[in-house]
Amino acid sequence: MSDWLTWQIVDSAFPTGAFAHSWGLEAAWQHGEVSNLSSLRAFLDASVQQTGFAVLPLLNAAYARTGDLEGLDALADAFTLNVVANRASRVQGRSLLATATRIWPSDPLLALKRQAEATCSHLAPVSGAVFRIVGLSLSAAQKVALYGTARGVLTAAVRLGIVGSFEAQRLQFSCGPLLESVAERCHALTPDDLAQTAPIVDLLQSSHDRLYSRLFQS
Amino acid sequence: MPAVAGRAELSVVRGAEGRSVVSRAYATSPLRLLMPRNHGNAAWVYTSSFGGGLVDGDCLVLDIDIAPGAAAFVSSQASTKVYRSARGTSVEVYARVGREGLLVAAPDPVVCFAAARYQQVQQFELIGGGSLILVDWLSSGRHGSGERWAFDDYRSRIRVRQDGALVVHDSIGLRAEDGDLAERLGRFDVIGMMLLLGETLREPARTIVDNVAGIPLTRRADELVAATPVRDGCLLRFAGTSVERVSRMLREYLEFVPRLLGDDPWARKW
Repeated sequence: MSDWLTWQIVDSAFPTGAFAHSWGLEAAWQHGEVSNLSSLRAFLDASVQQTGFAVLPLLNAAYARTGDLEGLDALADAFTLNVVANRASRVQGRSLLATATRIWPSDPLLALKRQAEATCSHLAPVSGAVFRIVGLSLSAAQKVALYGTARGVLTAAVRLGIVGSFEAQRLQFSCGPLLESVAERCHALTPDDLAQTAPIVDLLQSSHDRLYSRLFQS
Repeated sequence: MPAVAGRAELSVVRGAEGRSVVSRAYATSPLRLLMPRNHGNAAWVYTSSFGGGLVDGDCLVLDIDIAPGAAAFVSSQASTKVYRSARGTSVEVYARVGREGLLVAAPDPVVCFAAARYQQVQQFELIGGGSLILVDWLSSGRHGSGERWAFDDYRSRIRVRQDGALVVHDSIGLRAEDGDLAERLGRFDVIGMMLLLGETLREPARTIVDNVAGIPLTRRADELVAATPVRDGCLLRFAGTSVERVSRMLREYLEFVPRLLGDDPWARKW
C-alpha cells in the first residue's frame, strides 16, 4: 500500500503547485551563477543537502509529534527569513493541506488543516504531519521531501532551457547516491539541528523578486 | 597553547546627561575588554583576546547587559582567527537590551583557518523596544597561505527574541564532511548578515530594504545582497569577493550609526 501511495504523492499529477517554484534556480541562472551542466550539478547538490538540514529536522519532529505544530511553524518562520523562500514555503504548505484534505477527507486531516490555519502553514512541519496522517512511513516522507527538491530544481532547469529533458534525467539519476546519503545522514535530525548549509543558494533565491522577468514564483 | 575558557561580562547604564557608562566590565584571560573614550553618547567596547585567536579547545563567553536608555557599540579589535582545532573552539554571546536601549554589535569577521572547528551561539533578548544592530560575518581563510574555505566545521546560531517572541533563528552549518566547501561557496570569499531590529531602527531598516530592492541585477556581481523586512527592522544577507569591499559596503548601509552614537567608531577602522 505504502509504495503506491509514495508514487502517487511524488507524481507530477499530484497537485501541490510545486511546478510554480524553481528553488532559487531561476535567480541563480539570471545572476549568471548557474550557466552550464557543472554549475547546475553544484546547485542541485547544494539544494538537496539544504533540504536535508533545513526541512527534515522540522518534518521529522512534526511526523513524530515530538514538537507541537504551532511551535515548529514559528521556528520555521524565524529560520526562513529569506522573503522568497518564506513565501514559497507557506504557499506550498497551504497547497499540500488543501490537496490532501480533498483527496483524503479524514477527520485527522481536517483537524490538522484547522490547526494549521492558525499558523503560517510552513511546508516542512505541514508535510511531516500530513504524510504521517495519510500513512507514509517516516523514511518515505523524508525521501519525498528530498526527491521533491531534486525533481523541482531539474524540472525548472528544463523549463528555463538550461538543460534538455534527457540531460536532466541523467542528472536526476546521478543524484541518487547523494539523495541516499543525505537521507541517511539526516534521518534522525531534530529541530535543534536545523541549519542553512547553502548560504549562496539562499542569497540568490532571496533576490528572486528583483528579477526583471520571471517564469517562477520562487 | 593550552585551551582556555575566557569569560567577560559587560553592563552599560545610562548616566548623567544621557551619556552611557560602563558600570561593570569583568573579563578573565584571555579575554580583555578595551573601552576607548569617544565624543558621543554611547559606550564603546572592544573585545580582544591575548593570543590573537582561538586555539583548540578555547571557549569564550561574553555576557552583555544594556540597561534601559543606554547605548553601546561593541566590536572586536581584529578579526577572530580560528586555528586548526581537533576538539573545536566556541564563542558564546548572550545579550539583553532594555527599554529604549541600543546595542550595536559589529565585530570584524571570523576567519577559520585550515582544519579549524568553530561553533558560535549568540542570543539576544530585546525588551520593551530595545534595539539591536548586529553584524556577523565569515571570511574564507588565510589567503596568504592559499587557504579558501578549508576549515572542517563552522556552525553559527543567532537567536533574537523581542519581548519573549522568537523573531530570528538564524543557523548556518558549513561542514567539510557534507561536501566540498570551496565548491559550495564558489567565487565568494565572505558571507554574512546584518540585522536591524527595534522601533528606533524602523526608518533606517526601511531605507536599506528600499535601496537593495533598487539595485539592478548584475551578472556575476562582486557582491550579492538581499534584504528582508523582519518585524520593525530588516535582515541583510550578503556574500562578497573581498573583505575590504564588503567592509565598505557595510559602512555605507550603516552610515546612520555614527549619528545614532554621536561619534564614528569606524573613522579609524574598516
